[in-house]
Amino acid sequence: MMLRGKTDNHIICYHTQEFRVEGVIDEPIICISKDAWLGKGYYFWVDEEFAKYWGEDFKMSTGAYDVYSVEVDITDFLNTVFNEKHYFAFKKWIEKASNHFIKKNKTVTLKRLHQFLADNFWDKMGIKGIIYDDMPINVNHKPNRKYSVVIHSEDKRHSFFYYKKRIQLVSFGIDNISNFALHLEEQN
Amino acid sequence: MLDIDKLDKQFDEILSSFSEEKIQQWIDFAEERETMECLFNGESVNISMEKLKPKYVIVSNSDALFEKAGENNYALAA
Repeated sequence: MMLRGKTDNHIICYHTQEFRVEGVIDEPIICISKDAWLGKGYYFWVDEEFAKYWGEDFKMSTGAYDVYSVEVDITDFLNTVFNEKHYFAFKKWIEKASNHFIKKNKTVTLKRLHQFLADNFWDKMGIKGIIYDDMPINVNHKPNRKYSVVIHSEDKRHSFFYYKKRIQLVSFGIDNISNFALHLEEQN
Repeated sequence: MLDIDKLDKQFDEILSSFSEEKIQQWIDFAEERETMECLFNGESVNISMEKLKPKYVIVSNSDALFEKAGENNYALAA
């Protein structure tokens, strides 16, 4: 169950950044990476556990990472993880937009698709963010990560049972975000 | 609360308004914006200029010259 904030429409999420000697940041940093699954926006983890893993794997350039907590108003978010109707609408819209590019003989990239949706659809439709179930990964094959169970089969081959959702949330603007504060400092 | 049924119709309406030409216009706009963002972020950007080709347009012809000269055709010999 997602941790609720001041109302049922507010959930508590986590934002991971490099530890900064000069001090903490006052607000989340917008992600503009072309590889961002849901395009340009403010990204958060719903579980503290995954916020820590993100720090360990990708936010260690200063030798440590910080985790910030935040409340997000998800009233106008597509919740593709727990809302069946939202999930099927999202799936259909991604496929329709992608196919529209293909039919018009235009190349589709992840970045182009999300920019197209952000520029022409989400704002007009009043959608302020998306809650999304990301792929489970363990890029550095770190042991003892509890979101997967290692299954040792009889033929000694290992496989992983990913039983936890790795939920991300993107907010396209900063208006839905409040109570941004340092939660865990200088982790490694 | 999001009304998904209403949004679904709205999505289709917006998408169907994107003809091939309109999509290309958006792609051109998005690419230019991306380049400008790279510039503002301090990334190096290659700037290429299209080579200018001379274009010749006839602004006067011999008939017009004769008209100007009137009967004094010798004026054209100068």
